[in-house]
Amino acid sequence: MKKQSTCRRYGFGAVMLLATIGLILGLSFSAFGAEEVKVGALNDMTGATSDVGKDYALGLAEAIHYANANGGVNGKPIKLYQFDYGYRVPEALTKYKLFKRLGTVAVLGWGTGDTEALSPTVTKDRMPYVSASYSGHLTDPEKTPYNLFFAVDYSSGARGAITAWFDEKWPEHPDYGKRKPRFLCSYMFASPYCSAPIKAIKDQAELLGFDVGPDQDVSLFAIDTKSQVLGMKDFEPDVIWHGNTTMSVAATLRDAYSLGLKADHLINVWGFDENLPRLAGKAAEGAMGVAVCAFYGEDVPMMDKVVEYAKKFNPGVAQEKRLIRTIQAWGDVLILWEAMKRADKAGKLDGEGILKQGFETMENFEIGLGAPPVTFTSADHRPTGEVNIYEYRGGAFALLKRVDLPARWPEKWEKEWLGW
Amino acid sequence: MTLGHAAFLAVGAYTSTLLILEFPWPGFMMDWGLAYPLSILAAAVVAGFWSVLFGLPSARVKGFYLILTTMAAQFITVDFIITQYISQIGGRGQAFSLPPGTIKLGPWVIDSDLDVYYMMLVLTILCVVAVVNLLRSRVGRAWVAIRDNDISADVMGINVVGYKLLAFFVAGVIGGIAGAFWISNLAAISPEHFPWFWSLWLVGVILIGGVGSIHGAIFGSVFMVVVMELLQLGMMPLAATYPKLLMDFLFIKEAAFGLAICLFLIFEPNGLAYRWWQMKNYFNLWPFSY
Repeated sequence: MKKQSTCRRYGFGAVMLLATIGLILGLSFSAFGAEEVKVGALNDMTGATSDVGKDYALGLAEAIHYANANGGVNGKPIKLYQFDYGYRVPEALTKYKLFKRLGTVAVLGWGTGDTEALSPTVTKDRMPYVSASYSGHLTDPEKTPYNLFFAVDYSSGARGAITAWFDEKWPEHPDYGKRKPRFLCSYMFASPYCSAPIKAIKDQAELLGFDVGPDQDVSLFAIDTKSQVLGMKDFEPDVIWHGNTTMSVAATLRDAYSLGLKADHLINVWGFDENLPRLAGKAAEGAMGVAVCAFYGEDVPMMDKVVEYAKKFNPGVAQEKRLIRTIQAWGDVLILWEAMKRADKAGKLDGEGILKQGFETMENFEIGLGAPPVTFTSADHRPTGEVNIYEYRGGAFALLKRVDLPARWPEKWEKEWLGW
Repeated sequence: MTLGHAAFLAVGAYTSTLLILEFPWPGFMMDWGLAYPLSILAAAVVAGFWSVLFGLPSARVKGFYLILTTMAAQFITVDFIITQYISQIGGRGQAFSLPPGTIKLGPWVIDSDLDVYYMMLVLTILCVVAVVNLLRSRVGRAWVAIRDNDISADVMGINVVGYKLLAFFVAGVIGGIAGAFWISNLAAISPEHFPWFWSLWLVGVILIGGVGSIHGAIFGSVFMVVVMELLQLGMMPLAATYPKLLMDFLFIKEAAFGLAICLFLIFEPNGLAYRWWQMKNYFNLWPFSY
C-alpha cells in the first residue's frame, strides 16, 4: 500500500515536471514567432571592465528603446537579447552561439579579446558585429569585414593623442628643442584591449622623434601600482600612455602623483571618463585623453534624447553618475539602427545586406552626440580619422585639440595604417 | 581527485592549437587533415607529463592535502605560464582564433555542432573503453589496492609512488585529449577558457555523477549540461517580462551549479551512479527482489 502511494507521488511529480517543461517550451516557441528584428548584446556588468561596462550596458538598452519608439526598423520592433558575460571570452562564445540559434541579425559586442576572437566566425556567419572594442585590428574589411563600430579606432586615437601632446604641450617644456621627448606606455600586457594600439603608438612615437622607454605592466584590476610607477621614474618620462580602463588608470595616476612622477598623462578611450577625477582626485588634473564623443550631458545634438531616455528607463541611477559610456553605447546603436533601416529598405535585412546596403553606404553620416561623422567603404572600415583630445583641468573636460590624421598624413593614412 | 584539472585541459588545448596554427606541417599533412589528429596525440602526451609534475607531491602527502597541492597546477600553468607567456605568442596577448575549417580530422571538417557531437562521442567511447580495460589490468588492481589502503599495498610490494604518478599521467592524458577536443567547439582559445572555477565545475560533475565511477562521470556531465540548457530555455520567454534575467543569467547558472552540488551531497551523496546501480539491481532481480 505504502509502495503504491510512493509510486503515485512520484508519478504526480513526473507529470508536473513534464507539464512545466512543456509550458516553458511552448512559451519559448511562441516568443520566437513574433515579427521582430532580433539583436544580441554582450555586456560586462561584473568583470574586469565593468567599471566602464555597466554604464555602457544601460545606454545600450536605452538607445534600443529610443530606436523602437521611433519606428524600429521601418516598423519592425527591435528585440534586444542583452547578456552580461563578465568579460570572459568563453562565455562570449557561448552566448554568440545562442544568438545564432535565436536568429539575431546582428550583435552588439563588447571587449577586444572576444571580438577579435570571434571575428573569423562572424565573418563566416556574415553576422554584423558592432562592438565597443575599437581595435584597429578590426578595421580592414579584407580581414574582418563584419566587425564595425562608430568611433575612431584605438590606434588612430592613440596616434592623435600623442600628436596633440607633441603639438600643444611639448613646446611649453623647458627642454623643448634641447632633447627628444621621453615617452613610455603603461598597460596590461596580457589584455588584448590594452595591447591593441601599442604597435601603432610606438610607430607614431618614432614618427614624431620620441625617445621610447620600457613598457610597464599594470593589471586592469590594479589598485596599487607603486612598483610600476617607480619603474617609470627611472626613465624620467615627459609623457605616459595609459592603456587600461578607468579604475586602474586612476590608481596609476594617484600613485604617480604621490610618488612625485613629473610627467603628462595620455589616456586611452576606456580609461578617460567622468569617474577619473572622482577616483584620482587632484592627480587627474591635467590628464589628457581620447574622447570619441561628447561627455554625458554636454550640449550637443541628440544629447537631450540620451538624457531623456536615461531618466525614463533608469530613474534609479543618479544623473551625475552617468558617464560618457552611455553616449558611446548610443553611438554604436545608432549606426546599427541606421544600417538595418537601409538594409531593410533595400529588401535585404540580413547580415550581408546590413553590411553592404547598410554600413557601406554611409558616407559622412552624422549621428550627433558630439562624434565625428562616420564613413564606411568596402575597402576601409575606419569610421573616421578625426581624433578629439580632451584635457581635464579645473574640474571640467575641455577640448585640447582636434587632430585630423588623414589630412596630416594622407599617404600613411591611406596606404600604411589600415588594420593595425 | 584534483582541484586543478582545468590546467591539464589547458595544456592539451594549447598544445593542439599551437601545433595546428604554428607548426610548419608539410603541405600534404594539412591537406589530408592529419595535423589535428596528431596534435591530439601530442596534447595527450604533453598534458600527461605535465600532470605527473604536479603529482610529485603525492610521494609525500596524501588525501585532503594532496588535493590542495593540485591547485598549484591551475595557478602555475594557466595564470602564470599560459597567460603571461604562451598567449603572448603572436605579439599581443590575444586569443588564438580558430577560424571555421581549421579543425580537420582526415577529410572530415569539424565545423558544425553535429560534427563536434559525433567527434565527442567517438573520443568518449575510445577513452571509456581504454580506462575500463586499464582498470581490469594489473595497473588498475594496483590503483584499487592503493586507494583502499596504501600501506597494505606497499607491504604487498606495489610501487605506491610509481602507480600514483601513473594515475596522474593517465588523468593528464585524458584531460589533454579533452582539451584538444574542446578546441573543435571553440572559435578561439584564451586563458580565460580555463579558470579555476572550471576545475571546481569538474569536481562538481564528479560529485553529482558519483565518485570513483566511470559512468558516474558521464551521468554527472549529462546532468549538468541538461540542467543548464533547461534553465536557459526557461529563461528566454521569461526574459520578455523580466529582461534583467538575461543579464543575471551568468550568475543564475553558477548559483544553480552550487545548489545542485548541495542537494546531491545532502540527498544523494553517492551520486547518480549509485541510483544507476540500484536501478540495475532492481531489474536484475525483477520480479522477485527477495
